[in-house]
Amino acid sequence: MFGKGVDVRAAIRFWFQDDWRTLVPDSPTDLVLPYLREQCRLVGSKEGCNEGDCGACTALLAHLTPDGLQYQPVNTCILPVTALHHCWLLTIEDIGDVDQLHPVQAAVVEANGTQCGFCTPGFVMSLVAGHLEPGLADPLPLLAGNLCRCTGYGGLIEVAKQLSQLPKDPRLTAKIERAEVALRAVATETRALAFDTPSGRIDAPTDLADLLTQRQQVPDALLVGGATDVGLWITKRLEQPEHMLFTGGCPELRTVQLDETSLRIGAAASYHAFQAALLDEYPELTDWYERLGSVQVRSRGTLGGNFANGSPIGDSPPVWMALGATMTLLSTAGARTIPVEDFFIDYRQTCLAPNELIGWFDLPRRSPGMRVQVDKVSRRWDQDISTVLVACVQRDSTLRIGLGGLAATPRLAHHVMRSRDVADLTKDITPLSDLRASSQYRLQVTQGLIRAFLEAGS
Amino acid sequence: MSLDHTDSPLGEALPQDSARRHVTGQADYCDDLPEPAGCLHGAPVLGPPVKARIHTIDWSAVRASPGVIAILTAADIPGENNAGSVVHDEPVFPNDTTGYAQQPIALVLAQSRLAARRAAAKVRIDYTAEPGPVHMDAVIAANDRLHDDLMLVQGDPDRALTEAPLTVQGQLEIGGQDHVYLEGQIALALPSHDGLHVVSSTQHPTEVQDLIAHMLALPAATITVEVRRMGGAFGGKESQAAHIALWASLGAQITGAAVKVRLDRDDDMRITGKRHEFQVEYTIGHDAQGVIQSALFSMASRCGFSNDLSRSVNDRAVFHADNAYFLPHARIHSKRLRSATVSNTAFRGFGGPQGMMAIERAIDQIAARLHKDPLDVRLANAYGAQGRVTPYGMEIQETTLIPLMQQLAETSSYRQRRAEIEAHNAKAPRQLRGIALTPVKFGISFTASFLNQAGALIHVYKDGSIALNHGGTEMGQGLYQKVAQVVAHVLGVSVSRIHPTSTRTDKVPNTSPTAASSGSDLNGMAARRAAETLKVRLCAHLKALWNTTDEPVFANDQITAGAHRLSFAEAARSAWFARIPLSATGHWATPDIGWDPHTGKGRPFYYFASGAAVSEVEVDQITGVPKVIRADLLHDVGESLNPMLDLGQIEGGYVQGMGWLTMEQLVYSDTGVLATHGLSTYKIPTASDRPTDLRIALWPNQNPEEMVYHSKAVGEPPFMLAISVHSAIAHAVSCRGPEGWWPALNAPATAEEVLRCLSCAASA
Repeated sequence: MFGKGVDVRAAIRFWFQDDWRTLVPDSPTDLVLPYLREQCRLVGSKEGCNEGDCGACTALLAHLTPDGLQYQPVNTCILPVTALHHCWLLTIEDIGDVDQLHPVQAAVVEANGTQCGFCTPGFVMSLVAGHLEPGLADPLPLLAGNLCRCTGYGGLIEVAKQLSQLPKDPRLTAKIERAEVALRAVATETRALAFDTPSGRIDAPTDLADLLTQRQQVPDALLVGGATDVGLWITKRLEQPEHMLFTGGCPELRTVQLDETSLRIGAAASYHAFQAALLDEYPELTDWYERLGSVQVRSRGTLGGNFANGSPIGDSPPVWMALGATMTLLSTAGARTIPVEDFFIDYRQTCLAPNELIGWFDLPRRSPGMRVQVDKVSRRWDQDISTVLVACVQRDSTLRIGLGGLAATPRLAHHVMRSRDVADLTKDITPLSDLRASSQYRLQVTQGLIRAFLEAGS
Repeated sequence: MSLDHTDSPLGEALPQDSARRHVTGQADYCDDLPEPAGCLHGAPVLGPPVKARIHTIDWSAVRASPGVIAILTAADIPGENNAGSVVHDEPVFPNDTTGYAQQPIALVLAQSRLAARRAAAKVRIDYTAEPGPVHMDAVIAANDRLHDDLMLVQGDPDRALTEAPLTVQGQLEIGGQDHVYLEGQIALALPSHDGLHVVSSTQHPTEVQDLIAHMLALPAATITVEVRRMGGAFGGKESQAAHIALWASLGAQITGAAVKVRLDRDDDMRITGKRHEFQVEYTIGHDAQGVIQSALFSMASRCGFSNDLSRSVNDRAVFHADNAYFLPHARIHSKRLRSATVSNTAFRGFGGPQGMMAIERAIDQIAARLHKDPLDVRLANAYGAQGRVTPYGMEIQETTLIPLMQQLAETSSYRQRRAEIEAHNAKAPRQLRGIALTPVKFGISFTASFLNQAGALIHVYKDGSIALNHGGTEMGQGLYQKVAQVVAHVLGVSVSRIHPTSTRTDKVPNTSPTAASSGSDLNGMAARRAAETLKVRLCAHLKALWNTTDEPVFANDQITAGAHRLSFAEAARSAWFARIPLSATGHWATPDIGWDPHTGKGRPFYYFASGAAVSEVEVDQITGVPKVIRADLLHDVGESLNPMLDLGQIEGGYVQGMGWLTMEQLVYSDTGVLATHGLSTYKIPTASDRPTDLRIALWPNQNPEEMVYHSKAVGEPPFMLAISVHSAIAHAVSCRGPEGWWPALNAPATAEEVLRCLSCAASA
């Protein structure tokens, strides 16, 4: 498909506007939104925040799966162009025009769903995702990653609720058919990328041994999963890493596998990829899941990234700690498996060696009679960073409490776990004060939530 | 009650004029226009992280950064170094002393935006910190008056307070708010030897034009400022857009290249003004029935380092201290304080929301102490119950408030739900509930009376298509559509025949900002007059043509007189052949308004817009997190020009107000560095924050004034319907305290603030 005699690993190729597009970026940090707006002069996707919060830049990324195309809404402002490789990128320009609106667009006009209109293309793309993927169509979670400041949410929610009744658009259906044929034609080609750009190197191996070797040889290369955090290092801190090593190409790191004792989740599997398996096992995590980032963030974000950046406010580590999960770290020398709580050393410091990367997580399966309570407290219900995250798990006689947002690292509340007395929480942590809340508030709320869990079980 | 608008587009529910372009991504905002070859990009260089005196600046790393073309500072300004809208006290770039942390000190021009941003971050500044007050308590302690206080006195408040049988008092902290217009600040300056053309995302093209002209020492007539649409503004592009346009213009003038400046969101939040923070102290004397005898307010507001629009914002706060209630004796004292923070500015409501908060808290306190339903105390004090004259001496003519509140109480089952909620709370559940009904009375007109004017320009082309232009700007509120409906009504044509064209200072000059909710009132009236001029000309022409004395009728895109009939397009063509001018201007100046800025007395407003809301909330006792679960809004938009757009404004205003009063919190360091400078840290409402059960209705009413066709302004007033959310949260919390106790809940009622008040309830 791409021609013979060409190093297929030296350019990003993706299906775009009914054709294959070849892209050799200027830098490993090149992102999709500036590519669309500045290079392609396709200006329908808007930049509102440049950090994956407002969703005005939402586009859809379609992957070929055994069941056909699967669509993911993505924040293009923080999406590295490498993510486009072997995918179909759909932007607002693919969805109807003023004289022939897509049924979703017509519904938005009809429902008074636009005021200033700047957020609208992003909302339309999220709604189209819900229209194409019924699994995404739960109205409020579908819209949680799109901000409207004129706050005309009413009409947009109304449209989100009608999605299953809206007809398909024949022109889009035809595009879908062509895209599927095109992606199938390259399904057996390697997806690996390995090339130098004028400002740095891109490696995206598909073979785990290759990945581990590169990690061994170039420990300074920046490991990148879904880039939902790294994207902000690029757009806000203006960082220019010279070598980016993408982990998502290796199937072993994307595994989601349930066996008799555990649920294994690869470090590079997106949240979306393990949603069903996780929530089937632990339905108590539904709110936690839906409040973690947004659909756009969960399309790309990975568990490995959430741990590896060592942030004290990652939402996964406290829950994985409370559930008693382990993680397996890989290097060319082999593998080691540790309890997840041992991964964190200090503020943004982890025990990951320079030649290691996170392979996967093993989450113990649910046991009869166990109780799980996860509370996230944040300024806003949806798509916010935790002020406090408290995960309490009672399994047989064992109590485990994972805490996030309270200290320099996510951690277990060992003293309270032993004594079951919330007054002992001060022995476990001295909460921080920051822009989200005071130390006093964090302590009081955490104690209250743990107390509620203990009382409910007594 | 309703006007007969059969066959007229007036009152028709039409979407925003660009709705179909919005949903397809084909509505062009400033950043979407093609950039001319060689276009340069500007990024601001931020000053030290504290108010400071700058000694030297090391530009070497900036200059050496790839793609850098030039660095512009105060020394490059040929004319006046001023970006201040009213008082000329805010520099385009400071010379050597900054007014607040991270104030921009220069602009880097580079070949790409990213190159400019990267270069700007490389500056090294040698400075001495000269810290000023940042937090509200420090600002009040410093007591540095930015300009004169306003002291509005009605009757003999001190004597009346002494004679009042009972008093309540308190203090209320009210937080600021970032606009978070989704389209950040942006301008594109296109130079030529004939003059400068600037595309600016601004609510006030004329002011941008004037400031550029003064900065470049050029006649205003050589500067054209244009805006087709903004991606939201909310007051944040009334004065603040000028900075960005000034920088782009300076760059274009100096380099001869087109220059675009588009701020990154975080810079935008750091360096543009916000809603004013307030602290209000109040003492209210009342009788045993809860009727207010005397009201004393002392307001202090944090204005920032320069004047900007602070005088008018604070004036409006004073004029709304009464909200909807008759105050027989009152003293309202307003202090406008300088601080070492960005200069606060216009934001939907323009001081009105801050002004109203204290009286609503006081009424809740009075009701709690008297064991009354707060609604009864509100009704007992609302204009019309005891009196009709405001503290500024203007009589309230309309009798809307009381029946509107009563009807809303009925339709929302307020009293029954309040009883259920109190019974629910008595069972000591984890989730407390609360409910409140609060009214809004909002004065419509610029308090700077001279701004109450507008111009319009209409061209009819030979094919019968109509280009509509006026001084109002489109920021999502639907102004272009509403004015098109007015013109379509006058000329008897369909709205689709009318093409709203971008707002430009070379089409309609000397315009007022699109602000103060006045857009459709002022521009609608001006456009109506222009359309009427054209209609008169067409009538005269057709009567002569048809040799009839019958008055031609304009309807359904046709003009008829007896048996004579021409399509609108045929009539236009016929008029052109007859050498009739098919272009007309219209101008409107609101009559009968004015007030004395020394005493605060007079008629600052042409009329009032009213409304009321019932909000019901849940409050989590463990976390303090509040959630609005139902809201019923009833709002008076007069004879609606377009109910679809009006309902959008009402819902949007309410939800935006709810954000201000609950989750939106600006956090500054002690030196004034904004910690909440991005959307990851400053949280505005999402779809799930909108109450699941939201019921909105329009009050069937006509504006007694004729503008426009007896409709009413709608942009700002519904914002204050959200005060009911704050009151409902306080109600929920009050149920945990002793009888008669009411929490001193500040704004925003964040989870932490709510938990603080719950702790107070336990120990009260």
